[in-house]
Amino acid sequence: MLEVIDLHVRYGAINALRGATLSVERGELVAVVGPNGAGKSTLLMTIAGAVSSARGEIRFLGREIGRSSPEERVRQGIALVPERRRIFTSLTVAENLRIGMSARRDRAGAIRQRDELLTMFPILGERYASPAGQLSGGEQQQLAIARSLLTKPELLLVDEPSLGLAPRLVAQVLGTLVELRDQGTTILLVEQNALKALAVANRAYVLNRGEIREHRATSESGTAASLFDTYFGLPASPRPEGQP
Amino acid sequence: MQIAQAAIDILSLASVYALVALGIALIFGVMRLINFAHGELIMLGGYTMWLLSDRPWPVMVFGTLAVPVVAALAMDRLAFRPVRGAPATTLLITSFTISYFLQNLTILVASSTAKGVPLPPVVSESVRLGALRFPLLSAATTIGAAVLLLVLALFLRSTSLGIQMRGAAEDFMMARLLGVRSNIVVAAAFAISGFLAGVVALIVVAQTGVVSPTMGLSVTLVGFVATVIGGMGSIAGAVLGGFVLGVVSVVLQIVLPLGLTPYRDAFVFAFVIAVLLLRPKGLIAARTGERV
Repeated sequence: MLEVIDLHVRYGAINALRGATLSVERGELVAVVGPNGAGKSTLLMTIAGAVSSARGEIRFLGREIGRSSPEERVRQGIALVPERRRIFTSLTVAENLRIGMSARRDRAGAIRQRDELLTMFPILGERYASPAGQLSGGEQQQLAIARSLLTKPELLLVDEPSLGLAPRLVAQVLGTLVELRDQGTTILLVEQNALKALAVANRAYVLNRGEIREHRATSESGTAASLFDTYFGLPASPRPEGQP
Repeated sequence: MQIAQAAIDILSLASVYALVALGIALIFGVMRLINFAHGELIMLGGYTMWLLSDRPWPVMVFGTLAVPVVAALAMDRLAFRPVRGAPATTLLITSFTISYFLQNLTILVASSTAKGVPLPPVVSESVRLGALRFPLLSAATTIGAAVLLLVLALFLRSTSLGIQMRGAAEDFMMARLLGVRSNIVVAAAFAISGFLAGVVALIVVAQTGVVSPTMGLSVTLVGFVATVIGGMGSIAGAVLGGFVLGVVSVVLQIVLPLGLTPYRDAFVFAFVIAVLLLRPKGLIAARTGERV
């Protein structure tokens, strides 16, 4: 579904992404983990069209989308749940959701989906007419996810959903992502909390200093340890069997 | 009686300031651009009024409102869209360039001297409300501006495009990442801003009876100051700032001793400085998101 090939992004003299390459298949939940400043958010922002790449290809459903505007990519089926949620705090919950429906042509379908999402996230229904800035962090995260889902994405990009949330809420949000994956939404999850991300992902990549360092199925023995070596910048090394 | 008359004067002037400030704030909201060429949109409306002054008044009014809208849309498409996303200084210099270009083009075509605009007698008539008599123009300005502000508020609160504009004013890139079409939102902001400039042109020319290439400058400066004290980026703040500035101007005109009235603007701007010292982000601080 998504192929990122040799992607380079620069912020002035800084190389934020250096030849990042990854793929996501339909129906997967793929995690990208890595330390702070590794380029994870840049990767998602570039796929979503908010940041321009210097070089490389982004192919979505077989089409090169690297030159499309962010709003065109939404219409092609990519939605981003950004880091720190970025909800419109001066707008009500209802208005935030309505902006999520901007790209929809099937108005009746969009309203039906909104009602389903209000059942899935009941707090949003309870706070429907309240300014979104009055919601708690967890509630805002639910709003950010619901708002992006209303664009009817085939691929949902989720950036650091655990940031600033209590552990109980992190589990709840990640549980929601698994639920969405099980319902058929393909998800590319960027997360600094590697253990939590690996627990829910089908596969994982490690991004460090702008480079994709490793990619293995999370169920493979020893993968977590190997990922952590890469995470902390150590060379990936084979470990004795049975050792975590 | 005198208080009622002063209230009408206050509301009339404050309404004009609010409309100018709103026109500037809408563009700033979605583009982070202080459009100093807004005054030239008012000027183009004024000259259209002059050109059409011998035509039936509905034609004149329609032309005065339509030309600034078309000019504003052309401004966006030809001058600002190519530099969208550029640093603020580039946008600012672009707006100054358009402002000087339109002023000088007007001087070239219509000369630099002010032109008198013949107005129908109804403009200078008074209306009676009980024991009160006040100028029809002041009353029409106040009521017209109030209706326009109400319609705009409804548009911004109730329509999809209006909600998208408010969202884009808070976080333009996030709105785009949710599928909001940037070109449509920006064009809508310019069109509304142009329409408001046309309304201000109608009021200003009806009040003064003259047009000149620099007629939009002073009122735009006041409108800009109103958006600053209201809170840059806040649409409600711009309207509030316009009203506050109008109220302060008229009240000072009334209460200042006769010898000090020529220096009224100095007192007005001293008030502006005091407001900004107390509330550096303006009366209603705008909420803004990341702009990638």
